[in-house]
Amino acid sequence: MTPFFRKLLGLNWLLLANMLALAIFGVVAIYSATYMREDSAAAEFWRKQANWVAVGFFAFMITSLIDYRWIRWGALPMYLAGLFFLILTKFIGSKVYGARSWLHLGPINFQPAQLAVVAGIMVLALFLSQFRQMHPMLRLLLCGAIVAAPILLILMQPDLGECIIWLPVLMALLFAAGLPLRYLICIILILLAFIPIAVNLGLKPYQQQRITAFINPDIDKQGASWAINQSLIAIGSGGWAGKGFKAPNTQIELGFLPATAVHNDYIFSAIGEQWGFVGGMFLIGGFALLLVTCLFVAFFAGDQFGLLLVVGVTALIFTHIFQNVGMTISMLPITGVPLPLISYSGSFVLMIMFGLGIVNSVWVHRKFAR
Amino acid sequence: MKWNSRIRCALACLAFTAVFSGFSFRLIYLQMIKHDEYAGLAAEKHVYKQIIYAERGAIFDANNEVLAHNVPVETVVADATHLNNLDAIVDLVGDELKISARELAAKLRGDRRYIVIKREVPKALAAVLREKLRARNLRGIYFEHDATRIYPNGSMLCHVIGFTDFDHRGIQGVEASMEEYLHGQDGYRYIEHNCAGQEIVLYRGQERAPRNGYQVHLTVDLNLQNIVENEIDSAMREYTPQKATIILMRPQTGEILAMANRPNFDLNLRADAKPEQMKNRAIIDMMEPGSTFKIVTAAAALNERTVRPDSMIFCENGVWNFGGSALHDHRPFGELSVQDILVKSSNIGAAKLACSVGEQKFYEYIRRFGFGERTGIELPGEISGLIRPPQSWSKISITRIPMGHEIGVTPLQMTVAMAAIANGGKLITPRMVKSITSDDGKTLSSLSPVVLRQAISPQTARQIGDALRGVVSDRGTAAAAAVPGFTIAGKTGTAQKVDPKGGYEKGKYVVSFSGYLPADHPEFVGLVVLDDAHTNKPELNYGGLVAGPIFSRVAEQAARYLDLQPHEEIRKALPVERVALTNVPPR
Repeated sequence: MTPFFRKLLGLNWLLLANMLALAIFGVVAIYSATYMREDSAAAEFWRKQANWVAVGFFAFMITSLIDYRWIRWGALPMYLAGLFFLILTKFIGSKVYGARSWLHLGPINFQPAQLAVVAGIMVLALFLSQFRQMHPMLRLLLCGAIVAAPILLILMQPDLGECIIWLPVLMALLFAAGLPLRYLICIILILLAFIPIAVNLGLKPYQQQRITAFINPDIDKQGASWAINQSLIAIGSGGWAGKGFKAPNTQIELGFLPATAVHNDYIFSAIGEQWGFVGGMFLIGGFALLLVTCLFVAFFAGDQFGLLLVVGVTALIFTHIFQNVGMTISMLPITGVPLPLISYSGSFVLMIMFGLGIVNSVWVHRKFAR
Repeated sequence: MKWNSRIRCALACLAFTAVFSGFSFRLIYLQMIKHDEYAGLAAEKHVYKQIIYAERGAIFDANNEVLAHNVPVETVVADATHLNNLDAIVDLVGDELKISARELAAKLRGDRRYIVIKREVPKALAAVLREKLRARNLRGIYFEHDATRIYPNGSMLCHVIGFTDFDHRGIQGVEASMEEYLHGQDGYRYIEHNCAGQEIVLYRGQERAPRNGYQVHLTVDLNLQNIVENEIDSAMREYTPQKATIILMRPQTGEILAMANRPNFDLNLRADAKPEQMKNRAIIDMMEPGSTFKIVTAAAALNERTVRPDSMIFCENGVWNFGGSALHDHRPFGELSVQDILVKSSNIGAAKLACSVGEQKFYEYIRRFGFGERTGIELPGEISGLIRPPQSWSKISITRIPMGHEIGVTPLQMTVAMAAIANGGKLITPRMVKSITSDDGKTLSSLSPVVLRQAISPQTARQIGDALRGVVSDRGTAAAAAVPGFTIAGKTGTAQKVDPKGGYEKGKYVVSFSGYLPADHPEFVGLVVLDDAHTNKPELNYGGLVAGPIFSRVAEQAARYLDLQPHEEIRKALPVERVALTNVPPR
């Protein structure tokens, strides 16, 4: 089966190696952050993550070898399924930290919002590549319509962090799709103008507290600013080389970092403390390489659809990294967004690897276009 | 494929680079520039310095009977930065420790981090509180092991032992003077705890073990002290003096065998004691010694060889006009030998003896006997007394000082002076501390007698001693001080009480008796002082009649306890009435 082997050999090996390295580092980091825990659930986190990575890798390989043009047939059903699950979550989802965002279907727990965002990228890429000649205003409005439904459903959960993800993704897709810059600048200005109103009227008290805590972390150190201060102390005390893998007496070990989040949303704090600046820079460097590799793929994509798919996935990953790392080092307000490939968050690893699989597929199948 | 899209991809690359560079700069700022600050914060978050109190050294008597020791208690403290639920903690702790909630809340809301909530909490109560705090998941309250001082003998020897303040610092008695040995050195331990405030035993950091205080062994013998306390108590009942002091001392070594004062207080209830009760009169009260001081006068004259023991002195038949003032004897005497001047306690005779040595020499002898300077006993607050130098004496001072007026001495100084007669003229430093041992029993220092100087020659001392035997004979002033089976030497004293406002208080006397036993090889010197005793007949308020019998009873029991061999034929002390009839004692 010559074409199959050609495909296999034509994989983007840099992307694959980088992704695997990050995922394995994630498993190690989770282990290092939770091995001292006495509860059996926490002790299993790294093992479960390893399982998800294995499953995700499998999905990555399959997706890589399938021509991404087939995806256009799956995009719409997947989008509709995402909406369906989001609605389902509204009724039978389980509440985690005040948001009804998790769905338990048999043995599988996942956040439909994550499925919806990947499906949304596919639908948007499809739409933007198919209707290139349409009037920009119309394209803009239709794109808005495509994302509005899932965003509203997610807002009702409510999961602000997942909502915010959509915006950069949408903007990146519109940008890459060649929408005139004046439209994009307009959108950005309008959004900026709405921020004060949204902050003061649209946010719940705890969300406003988080913003206060972000702007001034010294207020209410025992309450709203607890987590961010602990995160900063953990990262700051890590120093150049960190306290070391499984180091004793860390803020993590003593339970000062939120135990419920240290292995997912605050994993970067744990890495910062245990691996120090060196570890943090390697991680950020790894992510940068991954994203640049993706854009490189986009640059050489066979067609507009492929390019948009890759840009969408890249924007998705970037936004997660941006929000997650930004919040742990107090450059952004706290939003519960996982760190791609590193955080313990179950299905999210699978979704990201699936997305990277699409990127890889775009790379593998670039020559068959033209 | 438009180039436009590709260019935009490259632009996105630039954007990523910018954002990640921002992250990098932030990390450099956090992890390099502010590393020390955050590392400090991290340590502070979970490290708590716990003080391990050193156990204060115990105090023992000469027979290793415990006089002061410690009982473990706990100190409840709070670390304000660890308190997680102030209101609940105030409720619970206030309730358990019986502290008003408002007071406690104010304390905890203050700006201090380390707050002592209550000291001396019994172990059982502390355990209950600790359990309740844990059950309700309240953090920030810690318990420090501590000890409270217990004095098993209550009020006995209270002035000598003294007591400590709430910080375990001695502020009275031996507790204060031996502070540096008793106190020990507190240790500490850095405790790490997790965010639930629970101690992580595994990760104890630095620690320094406490060094327990040394143990102090006193020269006091509790059995002798008991005898003295009983007698001073019965004297208090019988004569209701304002204050009283009894001292027993070993003349050869200066060891204080017993020391009791009234009024006194219970060491375990020291908070209720009035200042009047807490004074160790033996070393901080100044009194006019009265006739007891004549031993110094006679010793000066004999040692200077201006007279011999059998020299006859004319005692002016009871009235001597000197310096424009009349000096009286309680009874007219004609010619008296030097020894008889002591036996009969003639004021005029003593004055003439002093005149024979001259003011300067006499003053020198007063100082040689240790008057006017602290004896150096290991007790705080001792005074030196008041001895004026000759240049500020009046014309009649040379006739008044020899009979123990116009000077201020402490009871202990008087005892030491008497000891110098008993031990062959050596002025010895009285000692209260016999030895200091570490808590594993190693002796760190022990007493050796300190002889300050040879105050008078042994011969003079013997001559005075012979005279003092006569005092406690049928013809002396203190026949009532005799002890069956022993020869006693001693001297009575009766001085009018000095009015703090100046002059003397009419009808109030300080009566005393100082003596030693057995006269040949003295085992102990004793002093009994009663200030403002009340006798049923005021004319019987004399040293020989009031203090003498007390000394007799103390000395008899002490001799029995010390297992001294009686070698004289049994001779009972004369009843007070007969002494009063046959030999009216001197003023």
